[in-house]
Amino acid sequence: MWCRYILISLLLFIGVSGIALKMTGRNNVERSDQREIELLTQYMSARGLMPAEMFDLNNEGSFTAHVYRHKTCDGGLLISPMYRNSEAVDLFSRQAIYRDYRMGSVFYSLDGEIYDDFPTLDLWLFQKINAVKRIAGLSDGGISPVLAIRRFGHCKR
Amino acid sequence: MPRLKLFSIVFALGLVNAMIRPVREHVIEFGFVDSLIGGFGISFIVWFGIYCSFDLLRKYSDQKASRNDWAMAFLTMVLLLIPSAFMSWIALSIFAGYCGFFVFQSVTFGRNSCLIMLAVALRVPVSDICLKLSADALLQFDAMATLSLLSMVSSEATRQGNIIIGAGGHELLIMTGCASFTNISLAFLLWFTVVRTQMLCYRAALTLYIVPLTIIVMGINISRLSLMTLSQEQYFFYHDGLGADIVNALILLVALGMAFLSVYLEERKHGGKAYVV
Repeated sequence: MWCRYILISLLLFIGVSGIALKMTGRNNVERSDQREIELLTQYMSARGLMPAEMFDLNNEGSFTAHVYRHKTCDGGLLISPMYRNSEAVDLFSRQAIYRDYRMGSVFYSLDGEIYDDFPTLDLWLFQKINAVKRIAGLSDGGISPVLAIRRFGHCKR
Repeated sequence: MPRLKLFSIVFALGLVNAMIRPVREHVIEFGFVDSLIGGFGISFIVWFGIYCSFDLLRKYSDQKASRNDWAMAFLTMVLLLIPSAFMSWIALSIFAGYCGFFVFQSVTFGRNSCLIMLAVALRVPVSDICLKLSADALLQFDAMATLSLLSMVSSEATRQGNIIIGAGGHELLIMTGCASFTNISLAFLLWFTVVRTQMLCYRAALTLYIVPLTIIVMGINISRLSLMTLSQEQYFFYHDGLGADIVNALILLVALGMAFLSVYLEERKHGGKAYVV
């Protein structure tokens, strides 16, 4: 009889511990736009690109294009983070147009790798691996997005 | 310890582990009362499935839990320690699958209860994977179907990927949340819950009813998307306003209607035999 009570107590203890772990987990793990943009700005600054402005790609403002301009020439990059999947690919191709500049083709970046097409499977795997790393305490970052990138202007680089 | 108690405890802990984070976020965002009215951000179909599963489990004539049952319960609890809602759903699916396929006999309330819990638990990770890996195909299909429907009204509408450009220049971006797949998965869950609650013995012929259910639910969603393309007012009405509630209620009624129709027709076909509860 006492053995049964120990077992059920242990079972409840583990189950409730699981709930407590989820309750105490950080809230901002899902998305960290601000942090991602700060990192991106640092990365771009090191390559001579400065943040100029940003604009919404859709009315709801769920997708935003960040404009980075070259210091030395008339042009730069439009960058939009995409966290979930490829749902905004067509939106970016259609709406990521900056003033009257000549626009280049769209490409994508994930974890420093460059892709011609949206890396659907790679994004999913990357986010799952990152989630495991976060759980194991090996990473403290948020969910990394795919960055949709498009060149504009007359810079040669 | 009785199986009924053990399984109920594991199911309950699994569900709380899987839903605590989204529920908490919803309560923080909307406040408790509004969140309660909105089902804590979780579809009422899911709550209904959970209720039916526990209700059926209650009807199970109890036996003592075996060593395997305890081992699986502890394995599930250990998996629930992983602070991930996705993993909690997977852990709950594994336990519900074990109970449904290895513990209960085929024509029992217990098995049906576990299969409903399995459907509830599997829906989230399966939807997540499908909507992440096949978003392109699913959204393009919805956009193509929407454009085909719009073409009947106006030939001026065009499409660019998953963006529909209406005759008046109003553009509609079809996103994952508006995809027919989401509605279909919920309609399936409701249909499956009702059928498994009403019939002890599942017959293969019942699966055929999924086809008209899919077509009708997809048709309703595509009609909604088409109407949303017509103007900004229509968009707000069918996306956030009363129109959205009407469409959701319609999908709910279709799924319920199809479930009861399939049960009724199967019962009639087999002369109203006792397999119907």
